Amino acid sequence: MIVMEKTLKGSSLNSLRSKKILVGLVIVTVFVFTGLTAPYIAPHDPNKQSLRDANLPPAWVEGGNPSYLMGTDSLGRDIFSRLLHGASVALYVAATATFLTGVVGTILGIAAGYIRGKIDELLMRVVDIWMSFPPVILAIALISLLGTGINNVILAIAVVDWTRFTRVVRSEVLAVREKDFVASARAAGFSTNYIIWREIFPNILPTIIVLATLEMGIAVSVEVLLSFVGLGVKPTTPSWGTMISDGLSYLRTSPTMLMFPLLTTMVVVLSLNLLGDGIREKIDPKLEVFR
Amino acid sequence: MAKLLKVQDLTISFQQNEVVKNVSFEVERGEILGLVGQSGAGKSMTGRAIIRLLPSSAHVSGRIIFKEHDLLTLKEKEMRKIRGKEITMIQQDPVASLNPAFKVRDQITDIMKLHLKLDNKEAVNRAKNLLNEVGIPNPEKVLLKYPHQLSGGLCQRVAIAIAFACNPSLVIADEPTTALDVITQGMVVNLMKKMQQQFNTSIIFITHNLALAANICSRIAVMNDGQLLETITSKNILTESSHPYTRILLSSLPTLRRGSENT
Amino acid sequence: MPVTTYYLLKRVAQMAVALLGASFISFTLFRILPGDPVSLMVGPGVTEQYIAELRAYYRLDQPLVLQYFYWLIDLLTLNLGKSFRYGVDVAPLILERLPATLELVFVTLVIGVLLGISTGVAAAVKRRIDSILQSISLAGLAIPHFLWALILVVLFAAILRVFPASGRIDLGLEIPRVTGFYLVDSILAGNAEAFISSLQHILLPSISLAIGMMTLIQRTLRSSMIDVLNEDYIITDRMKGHSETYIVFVRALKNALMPVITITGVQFAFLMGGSTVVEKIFGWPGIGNLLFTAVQYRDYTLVQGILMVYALIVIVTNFIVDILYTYINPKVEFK
Repeated sequence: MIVMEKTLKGSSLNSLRSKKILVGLVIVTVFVFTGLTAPYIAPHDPNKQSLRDANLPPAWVEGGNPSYLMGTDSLGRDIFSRLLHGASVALYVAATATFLTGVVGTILGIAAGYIRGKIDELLMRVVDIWMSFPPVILAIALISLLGTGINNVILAIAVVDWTRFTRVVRSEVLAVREKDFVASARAAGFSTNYIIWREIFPNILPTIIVLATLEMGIAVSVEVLLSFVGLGVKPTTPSWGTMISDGLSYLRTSPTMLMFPLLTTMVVVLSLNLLGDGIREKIDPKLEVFR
Repeated sequence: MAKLLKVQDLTISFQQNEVVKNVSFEVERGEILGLVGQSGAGKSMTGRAIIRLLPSSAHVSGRIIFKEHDLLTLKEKEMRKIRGKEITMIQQDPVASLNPAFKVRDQITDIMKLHLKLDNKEAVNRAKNLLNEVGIPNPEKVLLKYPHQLSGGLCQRVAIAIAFACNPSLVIADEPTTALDVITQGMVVNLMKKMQQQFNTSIIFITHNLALAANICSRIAVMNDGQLLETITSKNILTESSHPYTRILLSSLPTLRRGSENT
Repeated sequence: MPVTTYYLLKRVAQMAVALLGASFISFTLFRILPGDPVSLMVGPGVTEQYIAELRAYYRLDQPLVLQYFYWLIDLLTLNLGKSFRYGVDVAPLILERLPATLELVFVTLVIGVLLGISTGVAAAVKRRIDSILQSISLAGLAIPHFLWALILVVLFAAILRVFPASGRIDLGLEIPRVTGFYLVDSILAGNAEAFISSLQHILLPSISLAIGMMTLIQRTLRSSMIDVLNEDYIITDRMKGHSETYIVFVRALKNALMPVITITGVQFAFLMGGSTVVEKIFGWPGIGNLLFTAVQYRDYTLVQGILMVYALIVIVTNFIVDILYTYINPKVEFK
């Protein structure tokens, strides 16, 4: 007795005629593809230094070397390869952090929204207090304690952002549980577990998808941010954040060192948001996901 | 005596859809004209067209001659001088028609400061008197309240006070009693009769309730599906009405008091 | 509408609870470290006795509950401990750099609110502006503060060279410290050059922070204004003969601002977070920058103290926003 209330407008994924979704999907697909294949398609080892080839401009500029498509950084590392590997890092962080936050947020959101009572009250109090800590700062404090490294970054993202996921899921659950089909399922005697997983969950799934997509955008932002300030991935791991940080010092002499990773980050984050927002528009334009 | 208002061939349409079709009628000075019909008959639209408060997507043609001027040809700036001063409107939902973020005092005095150029003290005094006129017992207290703190009936009294504040020549009452209970309806109707007599204002009383219209109006214009079917005097409503639709309206009334009612 | 004392007390109590919770989280953070926090702080090559003394100083050998109790007492007496790195008390250290952060945040709020409200109203009233804004507003929301900061630095400081890329004021310009807010102090000192310089320096960082907030305010206000402008009471106000400008900016806006105030309050925490990194990018001498140094040197007392200060700022601001909201919205009940 599964009742799908909020279906995507249009019958299937193919009829998602929306510019936002289209553009977002294309770029995100490129991002995911790049992230997955980077070790195989990158022309150089991202960590291979070559002082001889340091600070080269992009291949199409005078003085450039065609083997280093986008030029090199101050240690002679190929920017293009680093960019590709950075995508892997960003993808790994985004996917894992989103999964973690999603699972925690969904479980807690359903618990609070459906079971209500003391659990709900307590949880919401915790969420309120948690959210009075600026997220970036909490992440920094956490990293300072746990140490740097890609897995700690993932943990930091999850620890900081689970509250938002929980809140939105909870309010969606609150809305769904009032619907007639839930009441009739209860009246028919179905167990709470059954109701949650067969009735409630499918109906909040679209929202979860939207949240997850947006969460990936946030995760990429945070990873880049932390790496930028030196609190993210280890120095041996290429990340757009560290590339931006390096590039900032050479802004006047080699602006492309900063521009490439900066633009890439912007485009990827923007696309993830476009995709998430596009899907959101299709399922429920009034859905509030921005905190 | 020249007619106060002459509506000629008024047509209102929304994207090729005509909601008011070639409506013509006249209003004398000091008379209460009823505009009666079912929901969707176009009576509200007609009323709002007169004061030019239709949605911007509306297309209007025809002539609305008020005191020798065609209102439809006036510039917005000129129309604003007329709104509030010469022609005012009362809406259906009394609580919703008052701005929730402002006290009652501000909502009555603003119209007087705007058109009568009164200063604050004079305006507040006049507001108090007006509230007394509409039958509100302690005006000072009510002036300081917010609309959501007042009952529907009280809000409608305030709305009536606002409508009459600057002594307009014409008041358009758009279903002023529909959202109220029966007892309050009677109160509002009597109040409007009183105000009309006191200020010698003309009123266009829009309603779907024929009996109510017969109670307060001297003439009734019956509308259906955007067209004005006939205009009859309420006294002779039973004898004069010739249009079959009016007959239907008459016969569908649950209680039409005959004989002993004061019209 | 006067706020009842009861309501005020209730909100203050809520604030106290929030602060308590924040202090608990701050406390726990310090102590969930794997390994011994003190040895992590001092690094190798230190005598055992020194470590023992430090542990006693930080009361690490006492039962946790007692530790928390002492921490609370310390907080109430505004004693945030001693900075390990700097060797001085944490509280005055933070206090010295706090005005820089507060000034930045304040200017950001001013810019964000003003631009947000004006664009929001414009979008609600004029279709053309609305369509333009719709397309670029997603960028404003999606791109985080630090990316905007970098973009602005690249554009205005590196390429166009109109604004400085770092610092609070030009080197060599000095103003006597009265409030700690350079913009205010330079006016008080009558020093126009200093004022202009301070303004130039604060512009890029505050704009990068304001973009996100401005966009959110614009979106919220636009939607709210459109709803309000369709209400019956606006028709009444039009019926009275008021000009459209008056109706939009006085009669409608007051109603439409309510959800905006709520949103702004919620946004504030993110603003504070973003200010940290923006401070680092612009070399802004506030507590955000201090945080990075503290983290770099593993100065946990300092980190803990800064964390509490940030939480305090956010909690107090939320409190103020709540009170403000009750003044603006007559429908709020004081129970």
